[in-house]
Amino acid sequence: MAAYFYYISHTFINCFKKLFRTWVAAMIGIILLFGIIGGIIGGAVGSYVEDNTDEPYTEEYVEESVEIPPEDFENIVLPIIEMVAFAVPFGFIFAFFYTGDKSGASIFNMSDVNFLFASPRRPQSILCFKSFIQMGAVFLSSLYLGAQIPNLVLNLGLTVAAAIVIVLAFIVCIILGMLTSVCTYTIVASKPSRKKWVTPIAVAVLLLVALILFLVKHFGNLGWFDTLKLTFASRYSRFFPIFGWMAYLVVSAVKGNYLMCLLMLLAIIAFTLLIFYFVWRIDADFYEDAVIKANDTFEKQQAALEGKKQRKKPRKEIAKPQEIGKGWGANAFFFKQMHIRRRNALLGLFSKSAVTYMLISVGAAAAVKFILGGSSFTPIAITLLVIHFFKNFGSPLDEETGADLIFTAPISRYKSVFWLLLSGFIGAAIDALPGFALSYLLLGDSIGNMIMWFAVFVTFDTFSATTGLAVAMIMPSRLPAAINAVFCIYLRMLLAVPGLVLLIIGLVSGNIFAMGIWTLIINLICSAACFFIGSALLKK
Amino acid sequence: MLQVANITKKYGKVVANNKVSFMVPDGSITVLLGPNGAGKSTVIKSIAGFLKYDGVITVDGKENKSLEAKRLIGYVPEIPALYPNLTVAEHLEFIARIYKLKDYKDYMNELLDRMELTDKKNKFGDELSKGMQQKLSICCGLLPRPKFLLFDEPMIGLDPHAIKELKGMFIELKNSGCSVFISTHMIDSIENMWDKTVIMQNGEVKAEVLRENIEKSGHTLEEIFFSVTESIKE
Repeated sequence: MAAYFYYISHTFINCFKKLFRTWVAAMIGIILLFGIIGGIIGGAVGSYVEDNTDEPYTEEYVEESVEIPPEDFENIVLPIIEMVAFAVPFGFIFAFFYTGDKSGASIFNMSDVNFLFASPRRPQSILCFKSFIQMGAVFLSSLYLGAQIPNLVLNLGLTVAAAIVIVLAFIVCIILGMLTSVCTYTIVASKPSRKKWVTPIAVAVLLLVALILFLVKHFGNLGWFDTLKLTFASRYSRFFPIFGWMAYLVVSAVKGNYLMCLLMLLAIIAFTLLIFYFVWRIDADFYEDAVIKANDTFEKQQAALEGKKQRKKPRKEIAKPQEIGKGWGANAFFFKQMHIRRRNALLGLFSKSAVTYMLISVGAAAAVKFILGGSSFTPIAITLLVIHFFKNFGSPLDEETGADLIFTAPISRYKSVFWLLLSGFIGAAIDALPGFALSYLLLGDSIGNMIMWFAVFVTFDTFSATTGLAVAMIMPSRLPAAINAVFCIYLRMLLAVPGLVLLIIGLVSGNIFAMGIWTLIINLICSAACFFIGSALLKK
Repeated sequence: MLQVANITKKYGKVVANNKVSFMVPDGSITVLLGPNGAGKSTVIKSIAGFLKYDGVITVDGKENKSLEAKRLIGYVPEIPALYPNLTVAEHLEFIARIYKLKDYKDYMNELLDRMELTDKKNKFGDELSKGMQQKLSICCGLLPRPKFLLFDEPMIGLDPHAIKELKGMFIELKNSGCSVFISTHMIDSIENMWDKTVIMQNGEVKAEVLRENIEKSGHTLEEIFFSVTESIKE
């Protein structure tokens, strides 16, 4: 126990130590400071304005408060709450059970294999230790839900205590789900022959629920609402371990019956401890399975650190010998990328992204034309832009910076990066063209509009690539990967704001074409700036 | 004594180890020698208790997966994987706590000094070079003073000074009664220090060679290795 506590405490403290070694911590501090200062100034200005206006501030309208009749609250609202409170834990635990045999091993990493698996500790001890860490992480990362308590109190009319209980119940639900995953994994990994029972059990559970609902409806001669109420929100369902207890916990909180809340919570905790005890006592022999999965994850992480992409599946065919045939100096990077596209892409031109964009744009265009009765290309373009933004994170030059040639070759890095980005620009244009063209034909919007959006999309791709590069080069390499990723996302979002604001103005003012052109120009300017920053700071 | 008896390990249809049997005497340096893909790492991992296999592995009469046996075994992996959020010193302290070691600090400092990690004590695991990670991995394996030490390709990634230091440690461990079991494919890295060599190829033990016998015959280990493995190829 002392060893595990040592690991947890030192890891937790060192995470913060690492974070505060970098400029990121200073940035967080500055942002918080500005937020506090802004809040104080805003509050002060608001108070000043209020104090110095002649007319007192009055609401122009009074929000009508909706009063629910007490009988409806008892017969409709509370049962719905109880049904939801039953279904959510059921859904979580079911999902964690079904995926447990695959995801359970994810709690172990290669360091655990090397240090813990070889140590004189029971496998269950190590399993419980790692599970506890994971659950602790979930608990800490769920604390932000506490910010929802005022929302629940003000908008749903709950008491503070009830809101706290509901948030806690949700967190306990996730923790129980993870525990179920660990339990499933322990049972299945110890004897692989048990793996084949997971799906049949899951199907059997769903069929059982369906059967119960059918029997209750049929023999009770009830409507669907009353059937669901009798099955999941009655005094009988409250006896059902975990799901029924959780549901009753939430309902008791809403009703203000805190003694019952406490009893249900104690029952859930006791059940959780029982599962822990079961995991502790089970004959666990999961090391081999965990070693294989930890090794796979480790290799992927090492490859990612070196900027290498690991293939998910081995290649079926040996690549046909082909010559690249073109390129001299820095532009060899460009022709290399085009050569790879020619070899791997559909018809030598269209990558998988082209198929994705085509399906999305044609689907969106069909929805606009046949469901909404419109013909504007704008919704399709915005959909594609949003998808593109979230699809492309990280530096586009990861593979190149992972290898050494871009650093060792006697070529200006600006030229190398330029030609690489140009290949991406052309690739994006090729991939976007079929989707744009088909959607245009389907909608019949003006060709000028389509060309404008096409240009915005392609320049946005360049913007994404260059900002991704610049942000990746700016971020300190020693930052933990998860924090690095979050900051990269936020920085890119920040840089996308000017273009976004222009598009919103265009949509609201009905002058989208002109604003689109301005967005295109902004994209190019930002791309140029980020290109120079990224190239100047280029590093492995 | 470490006894490996009829170990067979299959990964699907691939037979990684086929009825592998050998014994590691107390107070000796035993080398598991073989080309890449011979099944050496599988043997080491089976002894360390990571894998399921057919056969029996005992350590001083105790089953290798028992807690009593694990107190006697130390394991140094081929590829070091450290905790990114623990420092060098914290790694060793964590090991000491896991193994419930008392009065370990002097030995810990000695190991850090010999592996030239003293000035890196406060560096995090992910801040070390690969060679330093390997050195720390070795320190972690040695700290509990196990009776049987398993090394999987220990020289890879080490600088010449560290290799020399490690070889010195092997001899000291042997002289103190510890058994060192090294898996490697680099013959010249273990020349002059081994007592027994088990030659593996294609998942099977092809030969067991004792130093005293080889010295009488006038052959070198390299000659015997090639004669055994190349005759199989033919």
